[in-house]
Order: sequence, then C-alpha cells, then structure tokens
Amino acid sequence: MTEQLSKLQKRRALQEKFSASLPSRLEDIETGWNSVNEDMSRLSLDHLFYRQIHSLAGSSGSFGYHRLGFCARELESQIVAFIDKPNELANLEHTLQAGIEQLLILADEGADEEFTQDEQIAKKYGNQLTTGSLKRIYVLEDDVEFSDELKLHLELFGYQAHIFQNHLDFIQTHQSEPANALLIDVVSEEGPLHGVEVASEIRKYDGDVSILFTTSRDDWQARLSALRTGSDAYLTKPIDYTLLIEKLEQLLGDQSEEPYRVVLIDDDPLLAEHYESLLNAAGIHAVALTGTDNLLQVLAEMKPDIMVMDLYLTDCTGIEAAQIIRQQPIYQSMPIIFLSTETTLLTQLNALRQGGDDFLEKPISDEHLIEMTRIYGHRFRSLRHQMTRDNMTGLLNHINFKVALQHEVLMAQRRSAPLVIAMIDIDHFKQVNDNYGHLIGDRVIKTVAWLMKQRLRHTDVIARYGGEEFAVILPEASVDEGKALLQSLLEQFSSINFTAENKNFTVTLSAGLVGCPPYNELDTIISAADSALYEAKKAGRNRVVSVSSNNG
Amino acid sequence: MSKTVTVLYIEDEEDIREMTEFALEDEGFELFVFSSGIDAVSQADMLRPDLLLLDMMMPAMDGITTAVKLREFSHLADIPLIFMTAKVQQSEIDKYNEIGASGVISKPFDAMQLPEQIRSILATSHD
Repeated sequence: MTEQLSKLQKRRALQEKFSASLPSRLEDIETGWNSVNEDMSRLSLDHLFYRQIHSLAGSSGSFGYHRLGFCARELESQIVAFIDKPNELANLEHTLQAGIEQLLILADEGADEEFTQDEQIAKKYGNQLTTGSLKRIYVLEDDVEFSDELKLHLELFGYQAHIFQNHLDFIQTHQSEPANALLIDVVSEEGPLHGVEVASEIRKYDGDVSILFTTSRDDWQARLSALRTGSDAYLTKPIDYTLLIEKLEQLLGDQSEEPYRVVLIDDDPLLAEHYESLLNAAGIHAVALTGTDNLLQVLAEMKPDIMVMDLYLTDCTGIEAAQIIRQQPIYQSMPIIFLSTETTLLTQLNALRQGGDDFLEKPISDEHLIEMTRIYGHRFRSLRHQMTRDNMTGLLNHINFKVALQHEVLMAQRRSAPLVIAMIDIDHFKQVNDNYGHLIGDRVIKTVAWLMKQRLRHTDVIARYGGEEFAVILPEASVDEGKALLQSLLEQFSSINFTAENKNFTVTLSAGLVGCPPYNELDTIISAADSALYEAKKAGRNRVVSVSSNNG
Repeated sequence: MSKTVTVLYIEDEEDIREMTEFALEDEGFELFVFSSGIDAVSQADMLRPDLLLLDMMMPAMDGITTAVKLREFSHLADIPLIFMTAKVQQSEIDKYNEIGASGVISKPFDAMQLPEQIRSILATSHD
C-alpha cells in the first residue's frame, strides 16, 4: 500500500513538473508563432514552432492535460495540412492565431485529470478519477469518539474530513484554506452555544460556506440562534449519517457533468472538421461526418445528446435524414438542428415541421454554435433524465438499464474488452421496513445509491433494477476486478450506521456478478447474474458470488 | 508474471522519458534510457535488450533512422521494435511496418496502461 501511495505521489509530482514547464513551453510557441507569422514561408516541419506544438500534442495527455493535448493536435494537423496545400494560407493564419490563444487558456486552466487514486482496488478504480479534488469538510467537535466516527462516515462517501477540537485552529484553517462545508457542534466546553458564536465569527468574512450544526441540544433557543447564523442544517445527536450525507449532497452536489455529445453532418469536409475541432476545444464531445454512410453506427456508438446537420446532404436532404433517425425510439426526443444558407422563412419552418428543432443560418459564428449546442444538450439531458431515471435515487430505471446493457455489451464485444454485470440486493430489506417504517427503508435505498455513485467510475452504469435491487455494469473490468470492487463496496456499506428511533443499526448487501466474454444475449447475462445473486443469498448473504455467464 | 523485459528506450523529451520510466518501473521492465538516437547507437554493442522502444520524432536522428542503425547490430536485428508517436496515420504505419516494427504506441499514452500495451504488442510479435 505504501508502495502504491508513493507511486501515486510520484505520478503527481511528474504532473506538477509538467505543469511548471508549461509557461515556458507556451512562451516558446508564442515566440515561434510571431516569427512564423511575419513570414509564413518559414513554417516547416523542422521549425521549432511546429516541433513545440507536436511535442505538446504528444505529451499533454499523459500528464492529465487532455484538452490541451487535443487542441495542440488540432493545430498540428492544420500545420501539416497547410504544408501540403500552401494556398490556404489566410485560413491557416487565423486558425493558428485562435488556436494558440486557446492553448494559453487551456494551459492556464490546469489539468483536467487529477492524479488522485484510491489505494488498492486495481489501477482503474480510483475515487472517480476525473471528478477532480475531493470536497473538504471541517468539523469542530470535542468529543473524540464521535468525531472519529463522523470522519469515517464522511470519508466513506468521498468527502475529505478534518477534525478540529480548538475553535481558533478551526477558524484559522478555514480562513487560509476554505472548506466546502463546516460541521460545528453547538455545545462545547467553552459554553452551551459556543458553536453558534464560532459560526457567526466565520459568517463575518464568509457568507457562502455551508454550515451544518450537530448538537445534543434540541431546544428552541439553540435552533433559533443556529438559524440566525445562516446555517444550512441542524442535526441532533445521535447523528443520522444518511441524513447528514443527504444534506451534504444537496448542498455540495456535484454539478459537473459529462461533456455533451454531438454528431454533426456537413458535406463540406473542411467545415465538418472545423465544427468538430471547434466543439471539442469547447469541451463538447463532437464527431463530424461528411455524409450519412456510417451515421447509424456512429449514432449507436456515440449516443449523442444532439445532432447538427446541413439541410442539404449529398445523398438525401437533412429532413429525410432526420425522419430516418427519428424512426428509432431512442432518438425521438433528441434535438436535431439544421444548418443551412437557406434564409427563407418558409423553408425553415418546413424543416422544423418535419422533425427539426431549430434552424441555424450559415455562416454560423463559432460562439453561436457552441452556445446552441450547450443549450440543446442541457435541455435534452434534463428531459432524458426525467424519462430514464428512478425518481428516488436518480439512478437509471429498469428499462433503461437494459438499453444501457445492450450498448455496453456491444461496445465491449467490438473492442474485445471484458465487462462485468452485477446484481446487488439489500439483505433482509423487509425487516428494515417492518421494524423502522418505509421512510427509513427509503433512506437505506438512497444510501446504497449514493455509495455506489461515490465508489464507481463515471463510465460505470448504475441502475435501480427493482425495489431493493440494483444493477451495475462495469466496462473494461475483469471478473476479479469487479469482485474486488463489489467486495469493498459491500464492506463499506455494512459499516454505515443507520439511525432510527434512537437506535443504531447496520444493513448488508449481497451481490451476484457475471463477466463477459462470452458476449451472450442480454437475458442470459441478466439471469446468470441473478442466479449468482441467489447463490450469494443462499450462502448466507453479505457476500459477492460470481458465475460464468455460460451456466446461467 | 512473465520474466523481466529489458528495454532500450530512446526519447528526447525529458518529461515523457520520466513518465515512461515511471510507468514501467515495478511492472517487470528494466530500462536502458537514452535521450538521443546517436547516444543509443554509440553504446548499442554493449547492451542486450529484449525490446527497442523509440520515440519517432527526435531532432538530429529521428526514430526511423535510429531504428535502421540499431538493426545493423546483429544482436539487435531481430528483437521486437516499438515506436511511440504522436501522429498515427496509415501512411506512417506502412512506413513502420516496412522497417519491421512490431507495433506503434500512440502519444499521449496513459501511464497506467503502458505496461499492458507493450506486453500485448510483444505477445503478438512472438507468434
């Protein structure tokens, strides 16, 4: 474990070193550009300017600067193309100028992948590699036993917790390195409302930070004073951890989303390429096609949030293409935007009537295209979220789990990659409901969902398959890796303290998993995972059992 | 785990060199590292690597030229050869194949996956 950690530190150190080298690299690029811009005939593949860009394209990604690397690669391909076709000079100058500005911005924004990884569970399973740094919570609490338990639960859900016993340290640390949320015990040795005084002290200079009180005082006066400091929650001891986590998720919930996915079609290859690189540089995942040849495959692989296409394609009209796309149920509500030089209102309206959502006139400004993509991408995402998600947990629902599974199996098969499917069920859930009521039962279900969202990767699929049954898909994971991951998930879940009617209790999970290949039919895979789950239950619950998908 | 693979590795950029060393250390690889093709060629007769791992684009002597020169040593003539490159176009791949490369690793690479990438190229090149 220490070896793992030092490896992690080393990788981070390499990243820092790379970050530190960026200003001088970019300075070189700018200097090179100034020289080349004076006399474009100087531009060759031996020129330092080109070499620097090439080097950036090849290295940035390895150090977690994916967008920077992408942008450099685009510039490189523009330069290479120009060397073959020197008559497109004016175009190139403009592109390079804009591209270099973009490089400066991206370098300035820092790495988009932080090299933070959880210890053991294989290399791939970090604490969600791409979401960046953890949320920081400062806790002011003088009861050591309680604060240890609190820390444990916060960390389980992916928060970084720091415990303070002294309020001066607490205030000072928050001043120099602000936390995302503060958790303050109302009562301390200093006085019965001392925590509230500390909070008002902090409010003097920080009106934004979330403040949550924990307390053994459940009286009106204490609640009122706490409220007046602008607190966000008031939790009485013994703390119901799931309630605390629910509150924190609400307050600090991750707004960051996967990039929007766009498929574009324009029969002009140059324009298509331009749109693609433009949107990609803006953090939107775009694929541009010049015709409809591979469209259906690309759609199946990309699952775009939005389509943008020219109204006139070489082999059909955009309207026809839209109609074909809309024949497939999953694309019925996907926004389709037409691009065209067509300016008559009638044609535009006609296009909209026949399945388009909006109409953009060419030439369209770069900003406009990016903005439209974001607006429609967002709209479609929220719509789809409502349609495909389970209300209580925000996870995929049963039907859409199957849709996702079909997609993932197809992708894995195409790449000859492994894939793990698991069914997870809450043990003795009926007893939880019978003993503590449905509200507590619901909280247990939500907690499973949070923990899974916390522990699994962005690329993993998590669904609420039935009442207390969940399903997950782990792409690129072997059976052993999947098993290790679920094992640790089960252990973590069983260590969570639930509180109801002043009683503490814990709950366990059972899981059955199956690996691909073989890439069987969906129903075969699901029933294999189900029977593994059944085995896990039969063997005494609170365990993971795997089967080969053959003997489902 | 299979036996240690000894690699003659040439890369002119320091940070990439360090990242590769980092990626391969403790993963069953032992590296002879050079920052230029010229250095590597000048010491090649003393080294007994199992694999040549070369950056493509280097000043002074590029990857292809270096590979050709290294191949002139009889003990390096038949060992697997892998190029690392930021550009992978078909025309280039043809060029690599022509001089007998076993595979190409595209840059930027993911340090966590590099050992596996190399191993899988080696596995196919031994058939």
